[in-house]
Amino acid sequence: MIRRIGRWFDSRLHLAQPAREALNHVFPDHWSFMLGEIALYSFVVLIITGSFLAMFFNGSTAHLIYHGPYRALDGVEMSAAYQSVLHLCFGVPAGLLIRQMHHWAALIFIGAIVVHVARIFFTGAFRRPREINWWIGLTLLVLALSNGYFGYSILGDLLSGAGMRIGYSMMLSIPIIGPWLAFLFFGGRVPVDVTIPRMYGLHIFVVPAAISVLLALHLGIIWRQKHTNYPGPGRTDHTITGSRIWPTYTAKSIGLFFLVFAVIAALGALVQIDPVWIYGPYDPIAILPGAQPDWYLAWVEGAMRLFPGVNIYLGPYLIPEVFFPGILFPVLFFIVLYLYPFFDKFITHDNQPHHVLRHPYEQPFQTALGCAVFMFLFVLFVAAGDDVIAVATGTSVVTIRLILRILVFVAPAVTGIIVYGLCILSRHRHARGLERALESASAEGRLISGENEVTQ
Amino acid sequence: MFISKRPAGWKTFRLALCALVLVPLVSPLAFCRQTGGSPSPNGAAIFNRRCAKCHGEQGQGISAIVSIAGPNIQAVHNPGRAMMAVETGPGHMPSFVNVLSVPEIRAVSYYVTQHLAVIPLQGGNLAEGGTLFRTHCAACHRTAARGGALAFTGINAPSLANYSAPLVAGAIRWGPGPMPAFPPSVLSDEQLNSIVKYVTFVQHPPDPGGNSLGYCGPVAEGFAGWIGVLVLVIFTIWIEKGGRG
Ligand code: HEC
Ligand code: HEC
Repeated sequence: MIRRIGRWFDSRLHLAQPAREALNHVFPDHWSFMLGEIALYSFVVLIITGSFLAMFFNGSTAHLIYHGPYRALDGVEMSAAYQSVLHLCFGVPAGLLIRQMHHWAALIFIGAIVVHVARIFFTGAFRRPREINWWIGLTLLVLALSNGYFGYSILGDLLSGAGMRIGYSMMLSIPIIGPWLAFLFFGGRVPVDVTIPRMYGLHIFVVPAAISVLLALHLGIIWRQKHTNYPGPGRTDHTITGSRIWPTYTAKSIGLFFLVFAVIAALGALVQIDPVWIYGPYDPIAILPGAQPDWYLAWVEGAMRLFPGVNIYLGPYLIPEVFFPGILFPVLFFIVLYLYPFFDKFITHDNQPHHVLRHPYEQPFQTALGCAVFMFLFVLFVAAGDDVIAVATGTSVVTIRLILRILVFVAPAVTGIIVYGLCILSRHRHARGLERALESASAEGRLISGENEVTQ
Repeated sequence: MFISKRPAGWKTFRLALCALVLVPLVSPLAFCRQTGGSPSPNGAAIFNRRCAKCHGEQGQGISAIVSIAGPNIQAVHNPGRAMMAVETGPGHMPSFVNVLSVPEIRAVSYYVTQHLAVIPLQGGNLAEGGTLFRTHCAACHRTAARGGALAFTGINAPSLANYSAPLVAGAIRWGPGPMPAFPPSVLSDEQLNSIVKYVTFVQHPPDPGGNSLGYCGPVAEGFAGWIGVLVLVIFTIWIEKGGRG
């Protein structure tokens, strides 16, 4: 029966042949090649849960009075957006679970992208011919970051309102074009009623569509260029080893999908995220200094907290101090990331196409640099919670900030030096090990090759 | 700081002292009985003997047209402030450093702040309290009242998770340390009670979403999210091992 249906479709669409070829595609086996898939599947979870949320969320700033099961807000004036989120949390069956899953999925989505980018970076997978996919990947990261920001900013709670104000003043701080950009983006002086509908449109339509298109392109290019592999016996720049898409790879991948779903569902069910009912409705009178963004933007917030308060003039114009840590720093950071393939070409004098990766220890400088940058970002991330640390440890936030201001330079330097040393050591060890392996292999007259692997 | 554990036997001692001092004076004895459970009956006695002539028996002040007439001190909620007044003697008030011992000063100060300056704790509306809390307190104590850091003073606004209602009410009127005081002209008794209600509520809010991570906010959530990412990375390694151990 199934065969008959299959034949019916095939005689019309002629899909069997390309499908067979596709299923014969070989994908290399290594856990680090599945990191991107975690991101992909979190995105799927985001779409599924997001579609559910969109049925109940009302992206409007109309004012109304809440009456509902959450006593502590009963009779309080709020925006329709916030009211619909409260209804979602307390009135819709499974609404809170889905909402929390959506938010956790966003955190994991971006976390997985970062881990994936780190893998690409440390193994040199961005080298020719994969620069385009490096750029697409970075663009996906930027889109994901912005959509995360839009997502938690539209809820109309006090925290998101504070975050929106921070975003607005950051944009205002850009010299010359700042006020125009801010007007274009937020639609006026925040808080203004048009911002939430505008961001909601971006959040559920424009950005996800862009992410989907780029994702398709990203995967298409991987398909076309074939995946890279780690160096190993029988692995050259002209062959690919691994398992076939069908059945081995498909099984692994579907298994991973279920695991991603399970972890997100577990977090959504067990750990509270963004408890908007505690934050209360946004109210311009209620200032909330020290509002933290989600982790993927916390490094920028941390940079703003650690940056000293200085006045810098450009000619007669004062550049607001948030501009440097809030705009210039992240923009420069991403520009450096985008240009990194050229930088790598410049220091390695290597412009050949590569399909075999390099181990991190083969590039001590790059690895040390990457680790130092990660440490830098980590300290900034911690700095975004300096007030929480101060309260938890009973110390003054001034002290914590001073310590972090020192750490933000010292920790990356120390990390870089240690990693550099480790790379040199392990490069040495591997060279010795390889020598010995080659000796014994030639003595026994055989070469080691991977088991169960297909070469194409 | 001001509330220390009393040694065992204190109650007996207190009653004995009470009897000793007050038996000759009939009306204060009645007063002592009235406030039998209170922590500082000798505070009451000291007050009535030393302070009432200037401040009135209820601390309401006296309306004599002399400069030494004591003002109304029913709004003094800060025991430290009362102690300071008793020790230093502001303006035309005499200093009692040489007259009263340190425990006596402490006792009379407590009597002033906890008995004369009590705020009636009734009425109030939870939701209104939430709104007032967000506009008046959340800037320092955070929305979940779990404490916040003040960069300009370097002093932290403490978590309010373990404060009893009278202490919260007192602190609002008193304004300890860098915290502003909120006199009745800013927050009426009714509004104050609403805030106290909300603080009591938010000490144990319903947590429908699971573990609250201590209400630390997005940075704590970020750490939890990264634990999720790490678990998934470990899962990929496990998958590549063929799902075996
Ligand atoms: C001789 C009259 C007199 C006596 C006795 C007296 N006070 Fe006062 N008290 C005053 C006056 C006058 C002031 C106002 C001082 C000022 O100018 O600020 C005052 C102020 C105070 C204040 C307010 C301080 C502030 O920070 O606003 C407190 C509290 C107080 N007295 C407590 C006491 C206590 C407790 C006693 C008994 C141990 C006492 N007083 C005895 C006259 C008196
Ligand atoms: C300007 C920031 C600020 C604001 C606004 C503020 N507080 Fe405080 N609060 C503090 C600080 C700082 C302390 C700690 C003072 C100290 O330890 O000396 C404190 C302490 C307290 C305490 C503990 C007092 C004690 O006995 O130790 C309570 C209760 C309290 N605040 C409640 C409130 C309430 C309720 C509001 C709103 C009406 C509020 N606070 C507004 C900063 C603030």
